[in-house]
Amino acid sequence: MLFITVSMLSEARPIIDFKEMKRIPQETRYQIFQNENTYLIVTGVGGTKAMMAVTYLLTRFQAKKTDFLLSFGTCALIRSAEEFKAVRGGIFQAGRIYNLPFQRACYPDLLYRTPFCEADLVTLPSIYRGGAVPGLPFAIRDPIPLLAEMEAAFVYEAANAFLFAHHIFVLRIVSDDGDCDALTKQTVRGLVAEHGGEIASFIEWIEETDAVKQGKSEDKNIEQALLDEIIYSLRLTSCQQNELIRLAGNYLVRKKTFDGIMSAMPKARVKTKREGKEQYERLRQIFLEP
Amino acid sequence: MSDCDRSFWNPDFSHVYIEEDILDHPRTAKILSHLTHSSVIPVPHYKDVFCRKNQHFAAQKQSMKLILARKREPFLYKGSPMCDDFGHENFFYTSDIMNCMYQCEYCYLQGMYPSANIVVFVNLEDTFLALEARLKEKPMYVCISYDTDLLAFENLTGFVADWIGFASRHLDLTIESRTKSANFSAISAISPQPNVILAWSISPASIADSLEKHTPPLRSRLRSMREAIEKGWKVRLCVDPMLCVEDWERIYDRFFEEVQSALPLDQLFDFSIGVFRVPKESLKAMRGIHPGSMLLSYPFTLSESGWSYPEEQKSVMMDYLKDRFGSATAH
Repeated sequence: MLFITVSMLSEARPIIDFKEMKRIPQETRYQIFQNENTYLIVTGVGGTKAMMAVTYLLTRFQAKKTDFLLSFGTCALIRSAEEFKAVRGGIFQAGRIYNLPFQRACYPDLLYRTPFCEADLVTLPSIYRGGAVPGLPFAIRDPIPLLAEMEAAFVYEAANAFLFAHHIFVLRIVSDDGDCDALTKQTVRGLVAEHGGEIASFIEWIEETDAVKQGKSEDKNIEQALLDEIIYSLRLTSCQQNELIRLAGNYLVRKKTFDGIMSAMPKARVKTKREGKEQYERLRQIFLEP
Repeated sequence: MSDCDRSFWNPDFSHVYIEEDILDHPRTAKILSHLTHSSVIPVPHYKDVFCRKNQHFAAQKQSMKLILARKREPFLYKGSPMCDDFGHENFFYTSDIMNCMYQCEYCYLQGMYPSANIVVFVNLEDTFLALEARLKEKPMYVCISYDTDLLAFENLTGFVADWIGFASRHLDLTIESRTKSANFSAISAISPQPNVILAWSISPASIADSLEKHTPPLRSRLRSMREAIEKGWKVRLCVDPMLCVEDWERIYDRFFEEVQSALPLDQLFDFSIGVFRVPKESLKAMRGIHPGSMLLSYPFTLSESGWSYPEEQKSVMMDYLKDRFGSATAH
């Protein structure tokens, strides 16, 4: 599964259109859109709102560790006007995110090769209005751009509690250099739409991963079904169940099959725990064969 | 995008994270001079990157990052009872690099660290100072390449050469540098030191090919060992861990023949042998990293020293090794 977070609908609209996502009408707390493999949430502006929304999204749709999250949006460039001209409208991937309100940094795990240039991001408690950022503990890494916005660090930290670090991507489009009053919804939408093809192919690239595809498959394999049957038949305790699942998993790697296991099992569900324990011990010895 | 396809991964060391207070260290500059295309990210402490939440060890092995840091105390660690002390009373090891560039399926490092990224502690001089203080009290035996493969990194760090230089000035210190690399050429210009042991871990070619990803082939390692012996170095041959794979006796018979024909066994300094064993807490993590591993799915038994083969199996394998390698030291 892929989860996408944006703070404003105007930033999300081109992606929603391009991916033909539909709003989930039952979701009233947040605007959530979906298509086959992807959920998109509009979090609202600011760190706290973003953190709450990400936690809601990943809990509500039962995110697995192997799922992906893309945090997407616009930001400002903390640089001179000349440099701003060069990068305005550019799209960047965060290599380091500094949470200014909490004075701590997080470092996305940049394992995958992406088509985007790298930038440092500073998550501010309020809108960046230009000039230097007081309290920033590090210098600008030339030639890496330093970008300001209001959600990334919170989104990253919330998502990282659920997902593998290398499955979280933070992308930002440079929309301004602190003069955000001049920005309109249409300008933001236009900037995102300019990168529509790039973003869409990046999303497709993620959707093509094994992990996203696996999320769709709910077929239980035969071995798992057999194991479930054994656990039910033997009335095992939680501790015995865990032990049996571990041993059976290793047995299956070694022998490739559970053939012959069922013949060693009782045909009906055991009547007493003692009977179950005896059968469990027999099964355990089989699974411990080298 | 398949997880097995390397083209989707950033190249190894695409990013170098450097602790802020060693940005100006000479070894930092030396290492960075080899990595001109890497993106450098300063960090307050190496654990901010190395100990991140929810890292994926196997995925990180596809695109390892380098972390340069300052080593803080302790600089020396007491040798583990699971490792051979070769009769030395004061057996210690150091950890100047954490993690290894190879991907051996049986390696205990996989269960030990939260990350597969490589941490290089650039302030080797502080380890030397700590060691000098200890050497005033007693002679020492120090293994310098336990939590890593130092010689494999030699072209980047030059640590083995530095250690040999240090050992040459302290004859009451004996050091062992253990490797799977075939990189003897990186130190071949240095004169052999009587208190430095170069140890090579080798496995049968079929095991090296299938379970020791990215390591040099057996014949390259044997060539490196031979060169070191010819130059006059003390060379230790390590068959550790021996693995109980299918048809292991035939595989190890052939392996022994190959070693015998490639090396003058009588000129080796000594042997070290042992069967597969990992600390108690490591096996679960290792199985998580290699869920389909035939090797790790074996029904190991747990003793006080950790997971290993059942006693009966262990003795058969150890007897076999002792028989072949004669004067070997048992674990």
